[in-house]
Amino acid sequence: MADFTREVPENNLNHNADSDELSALRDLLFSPEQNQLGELRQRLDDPKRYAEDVSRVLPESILLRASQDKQLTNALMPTVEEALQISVQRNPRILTDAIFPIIGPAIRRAITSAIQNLIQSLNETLDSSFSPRGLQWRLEALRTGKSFAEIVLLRTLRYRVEQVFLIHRKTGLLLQTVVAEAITSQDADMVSSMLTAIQDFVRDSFGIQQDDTLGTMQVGELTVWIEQGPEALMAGVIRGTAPEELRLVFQEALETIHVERKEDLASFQGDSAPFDACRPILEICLQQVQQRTEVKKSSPALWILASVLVVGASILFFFVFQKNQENQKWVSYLEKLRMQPGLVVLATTEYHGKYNLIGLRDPLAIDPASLLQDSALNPASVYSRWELYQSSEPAFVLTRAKELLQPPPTVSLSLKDGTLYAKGSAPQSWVKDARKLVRLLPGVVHFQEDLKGAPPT
Amino acid sequence: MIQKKICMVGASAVGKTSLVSRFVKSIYSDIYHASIGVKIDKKTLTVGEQELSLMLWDIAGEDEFQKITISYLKGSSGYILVVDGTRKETLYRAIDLQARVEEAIGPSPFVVLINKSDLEKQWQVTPEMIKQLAEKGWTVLLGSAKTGLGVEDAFLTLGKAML
Repeated sequence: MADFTREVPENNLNHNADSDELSALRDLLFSPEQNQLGELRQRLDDPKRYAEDVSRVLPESILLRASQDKQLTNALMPTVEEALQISVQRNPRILTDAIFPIIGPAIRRAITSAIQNLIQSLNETLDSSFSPRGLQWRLEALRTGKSFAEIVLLRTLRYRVEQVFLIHRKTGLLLQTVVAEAITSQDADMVSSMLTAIQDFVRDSFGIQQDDTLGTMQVGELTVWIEQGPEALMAGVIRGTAPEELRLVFQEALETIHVERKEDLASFQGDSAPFDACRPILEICLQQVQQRTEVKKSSPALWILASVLVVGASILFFFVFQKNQENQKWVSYLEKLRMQPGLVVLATTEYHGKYNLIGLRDPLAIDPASLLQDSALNPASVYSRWELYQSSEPAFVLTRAKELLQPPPTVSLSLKDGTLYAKGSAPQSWVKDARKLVRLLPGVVHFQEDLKGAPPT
Repeated sequence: MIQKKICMVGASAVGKTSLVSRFVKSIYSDIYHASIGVKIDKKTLTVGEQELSLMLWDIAGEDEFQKITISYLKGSSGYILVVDGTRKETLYRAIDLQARVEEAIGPSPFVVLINKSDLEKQWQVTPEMIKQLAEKGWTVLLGSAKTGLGVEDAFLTLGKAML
């Protein structure tokens, strides 16, 4: 027993010695690797160091992935959108300040673009309305019963995507559809199923692989492009000849939908409501391109604008000329009035082609209305107000003297420098009355008679 | 609104197209037109409180010269196996078709509609045969595209089974 108990520690000692040697050997052989492993583990376990490591490669990783496809953009988009939304909710000023410098140019550009489009559209409308080609289209519209606008669109269109279908690949059920403006769409559910049936028929009839699909169908002026994804396919109905680049647009839209709606597509059980959110993506595919005319023609809008300007200028010139003529007549009329004895023009005004005049008129003076008639002015355009007065014009004073004094035929009256002269022969009674009455005459300062006595009447 | 794809499957001239025509348009015509390929129709049903838009794929019937295109059944949520009550061989073909369809698309709800109940006196399908089908757990309904009897009921039964 004692031997046994003595042997055990001896064994243990041997064993311990072996372990130490092994450990020493292991350390000798694997120490550098172990140190490296330990360091790596520390780097991975320590969040701070791990973050530092990732931060060193993050920009390159983003650049690398972004150059490969758009998956990263699509993945980041919801986060970025949400961040922007939260930023605006918290403090709108930050984003306002950030976009302020670009708002002005953006608005100017949008307005310029809108005006250019308007002019272009006006040009095309005028061109198609009045040109021989436009008349031909009108005849075609009458013949076919289609609207003129529809014919213009069809004849000037290079291509237009009229309808896009998003179809569940497995069931052929319609997930979503979008239709271009002014297009009468067919029953999209039926079209979607029929497209799937045609695909099945083609695949079955020609024994092609399950993954191979019908890419294009041509029916008259319509082409149907079909893009296939893992869970859904997209079909676009195109009128005209679309460029191959449009396929990329279709493919990108389908890829985006697969990324954004991955779970909805995988668990689709007939409820298409979640795919309403795909409408904006599908609408990107509703593109259309008008034909451009090769020969650059002068713009009909410019011609019409020029014509309008010429006519406008002519009308303006006519009015200015007429106005000038009227003014000259008015000035000439005033001149004549001023030259007339017994007429005094006090004030004149002119307003919107109407002439106003205020003046003084001796009852013995010429009637201004007769002068107005002679002037060729429109009497309706002239308003005159004449106040009566007595003029000291010698001729008028003499006339008034003759009327007041009623001299006999043997007496002749004359006026000079305010003195009224009476010559000839007159009865004494008339002379006596005349001496009294002459004082009442304005413009007569003295009365001088050189009269011989005449027999009383 | 939930959409479901369902298929009409059966031997030639059992009345698949007539049943769809009766169900969708309430029309029946005695003139027989053999279907080629597949014909698609749509019908909206209300099952309980759920509106159901059924896309009906009427698949050309099978006979000794023409096999049905199984790929048309891909993605369908259910199917109607149509049998002509006046021809018992159409029942045997329906049983065969059911096995092939299930193999292709997996277990799916279906109903067996034995058509032409308006010609009951000429029937070769016996109550015993129907009983055997029912014993397999199959839903067997009798109907007539000509009179409209049992047609809507068959689609409603399938609709309920699919929801």
